[in-house]
Amino acid sequence: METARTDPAVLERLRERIRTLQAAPRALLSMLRTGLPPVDGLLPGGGFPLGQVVELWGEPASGRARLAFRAIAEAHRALRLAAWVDGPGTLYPPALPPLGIRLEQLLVVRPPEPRQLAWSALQLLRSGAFAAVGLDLSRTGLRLSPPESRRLVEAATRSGGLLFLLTPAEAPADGTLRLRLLATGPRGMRLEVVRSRQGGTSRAVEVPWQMLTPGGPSDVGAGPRGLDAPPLPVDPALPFRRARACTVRDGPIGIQGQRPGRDLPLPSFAQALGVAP
Amino acid sequence: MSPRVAYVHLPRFPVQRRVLEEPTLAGQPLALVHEAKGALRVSFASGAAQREGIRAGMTLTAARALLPALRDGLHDASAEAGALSSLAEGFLRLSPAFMLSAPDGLWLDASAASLFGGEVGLLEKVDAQARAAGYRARVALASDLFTARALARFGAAPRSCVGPGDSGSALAALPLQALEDTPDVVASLRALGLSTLGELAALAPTQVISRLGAQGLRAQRLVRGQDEARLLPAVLPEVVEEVRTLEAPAESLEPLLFALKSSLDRLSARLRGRQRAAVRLTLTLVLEPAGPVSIPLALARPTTEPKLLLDLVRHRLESVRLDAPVATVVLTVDESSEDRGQQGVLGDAPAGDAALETVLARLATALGPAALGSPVLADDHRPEAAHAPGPFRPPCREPGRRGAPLPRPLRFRTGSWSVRSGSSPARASRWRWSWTRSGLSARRACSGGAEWCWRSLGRSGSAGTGGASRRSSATTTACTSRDWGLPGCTGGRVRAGSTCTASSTEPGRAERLRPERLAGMHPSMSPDGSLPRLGRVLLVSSDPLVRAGIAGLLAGSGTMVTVEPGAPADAVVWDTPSAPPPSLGPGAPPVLALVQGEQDARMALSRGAAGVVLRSADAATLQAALLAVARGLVVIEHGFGSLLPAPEARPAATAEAFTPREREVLALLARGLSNRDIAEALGISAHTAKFHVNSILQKLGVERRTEAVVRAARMGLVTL
Repeated sequence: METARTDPAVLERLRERIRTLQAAPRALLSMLRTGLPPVDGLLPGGGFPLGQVVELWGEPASGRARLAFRAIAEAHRALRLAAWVDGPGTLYPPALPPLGIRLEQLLVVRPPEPRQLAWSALQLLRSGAFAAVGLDLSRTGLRLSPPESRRLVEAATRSGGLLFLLTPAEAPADGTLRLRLLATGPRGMRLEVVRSRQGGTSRAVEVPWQMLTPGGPSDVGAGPRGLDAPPLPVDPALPFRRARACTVRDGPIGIQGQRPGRDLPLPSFAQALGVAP
Repeated sequence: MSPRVAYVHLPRFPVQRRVLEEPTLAGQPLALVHEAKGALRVSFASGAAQREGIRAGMTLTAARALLPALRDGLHDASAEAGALSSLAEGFLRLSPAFMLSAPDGLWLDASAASLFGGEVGLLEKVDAQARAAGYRARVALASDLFTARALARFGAAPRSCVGPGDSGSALAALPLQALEDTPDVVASLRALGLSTLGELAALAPTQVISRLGAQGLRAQRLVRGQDEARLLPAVLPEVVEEVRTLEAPAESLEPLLFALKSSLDRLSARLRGRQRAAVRLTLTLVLEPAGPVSIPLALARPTTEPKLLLDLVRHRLESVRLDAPVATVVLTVDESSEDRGQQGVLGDAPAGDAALETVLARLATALGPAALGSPVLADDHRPEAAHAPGPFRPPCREPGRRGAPLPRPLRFRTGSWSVRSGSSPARASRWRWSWTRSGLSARRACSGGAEWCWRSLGRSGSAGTGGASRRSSATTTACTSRDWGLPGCTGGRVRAGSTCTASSTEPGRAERLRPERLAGMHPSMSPDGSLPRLGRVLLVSSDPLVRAGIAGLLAGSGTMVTVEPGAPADAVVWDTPSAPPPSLGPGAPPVLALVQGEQDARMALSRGAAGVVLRSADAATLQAALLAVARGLVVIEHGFGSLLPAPEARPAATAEAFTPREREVLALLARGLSNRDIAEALGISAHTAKFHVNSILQKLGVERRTEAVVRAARMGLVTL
């Protein structure tokens, strides 16, 4: 110990080893961390605990799915599977890989009937093959009945899977851990623990959008092909096709030399006035 | 040598099958009857019934008189033959072909026994497979059909394996009854006082002919192990279908599921035998008065797991309401795919795989297969087209630690061995040979740096082609794929449709191979990946010291060396300084010349040698070169590069070769203009511009415009 305290190289090696161990896929998962320090600090166990129903309650575009996928990415890093029951059908897969999602480990279920949503999630959760299951109920007009909620909670407890329940602001459900999400303008969102078994209720935290989404809204214009990109330089020496004399004179012309709007006969007023020609 | 066959005898197969379908009949006296001349006669009797004296051929009335508690059922010969055929399909995992011997046995082609731990191992596996299907079986393996069947049916041991020449002695102790096909001969022989096959075999053929005629002689040939009949492979039915008529119409789910379980077991075994996996099934329930009801079953992924299928069927049936009892159950495989095994299933435990399969199958059935999948990203600028639904195939979590091996009769093997080059010890080269059974593994081997890729094409037993690829920097010997016959490929059912690109030694040429069916690994290759062995090598040298040295070098590899001119050999080693060239007639073995220098090598090649190696080559190099020569390849020592055909030289174009107009066109070409733009810029027609461009391409000896620009820039004709 004494040498370790004095030798910075040993300490650095130990740190490196710890980092390696932490980065390696873990055999045993007990919780899914989002990787966002304010969110993980807010959650009672330092992350979303497995075997529970976590309800993310808020308006559309308040960051619920993004928060859930941040946690699912942790499951994917541990080489576990995840499933997403997409009720509104608005999941946009190209946005997921930047969040750390491995698409080949994500099963997306889009039931044709809204009443099959909860059933599908229940089957996925009961199978125990998925570390995390998401159930998006927003914009479906669906509200989970108490027996359905109970079954989901029971299935999560038995199988040890984590259910992310995305509920709209007007229809909260019965999650074991309920978080209220509220978009607070262009800067970020506010996250509040409404219900929790491990305590810590009514604590809240502000999360900036940029932290939630790497390369998010503030970066839209950036990049070589973005809106802010400078116009491509034009080389005047390039021998582009010369405009024909008629094009210079008459403007663009159509097929067989027709000039739309000029050569065509104008519609007569007679029909509009109801006077037969 | 005659091909080896195994016979599987399933004693009283129809009775066993009946008991399997109705377990309450186990241990009960049971007789299966058929109608003959207006009376019901017993065709098969169970063991319990036989103990009471009931025999086949008795009328049912007589049997009932002996045993009033006898239970009976109708024997349907065609249905039994169908059941036997579907059971036999399951054996296709172990054997490339089968031939039925109704009503209670079948022959299997045992040529693939080396893949299952030898012939004894194959017999054990056949026995285990029959037991897994619920049948008691006796098996025998021999070189002819009669011996195999007689031993399985009348031999003392439940499993017996007879060597190629031992058929006669193995048959000697069997009773005359084994000559089932010729009852007249058996009756005559009994009248003569004979009782065993050995006694018949010992008779002089002239006596047999004079007393029993040609039929008797044929019987004697059979018992002497000289059966000339060959195995005719049975043709598989196109549609995989299992029909099960229930004893009594099922009113509830339980008896229905029980019947379905055995049907699904058989269906799975048949699919596995064919190396297929079910994708879509149809379950047809024939209701007693109402008629058939079809229930389609879509699977989330191809599978042959009977447990999973049963789970799915149960789940599906729970949601179906039937308003009449079910009389018959028909399971049809509508669509099947190549069985890739349980690849890419991810779970915490083997049980997790089953859970995943079950939940996927359940969701696919309830929601439709289109409702679930894994998104696949597409390269498209439109946001709505940037992703598409794809199949859910999660990667394998711990590929090395997955438990049960895939249920596949033949698996590809990849091995490697290394040869240290004797001629240039400083540049020790490593060769890797991969002999592969599928295009995928061949591709993997190619990408993994394998210099040679052995692959065999065509149906089992046919010859194949070798695609040889070479890295000139790392190898000592250049090999040109000439004609590489792979004889005696063991039979097997293999996957098709994969491709592999193997580059050949000729510059700029690559063969694209598409195997229709791939066959087994080379029989002379030992499983641990060591070198295949050569049979016999003829040594041509007048120097006794050289003869002794080469014989010593080759002795370590188990190769037989002979010096007798004209002896049959796989290859000839010719020591050029000490001996005149051996006579090379048509059909003579290929010659490997041991040379001292390039001059010698040129001389040897002009005299018809197939390979040249330095005299200082070590044992491994010599052995590899001999093997390559024997397989029809040309072997040339690394240092003798000048002996190889020079690559075709490109036409050298100079700046003077271009007309002024062509230079102008070239300059515009370098700016990336199209033919039409060039035409407009120069005030000529597009056809003329094209003509100029073609002329430039021809003069530069290239095929593409970009290539032309690059080449012209290198020559200094244009500046970029």
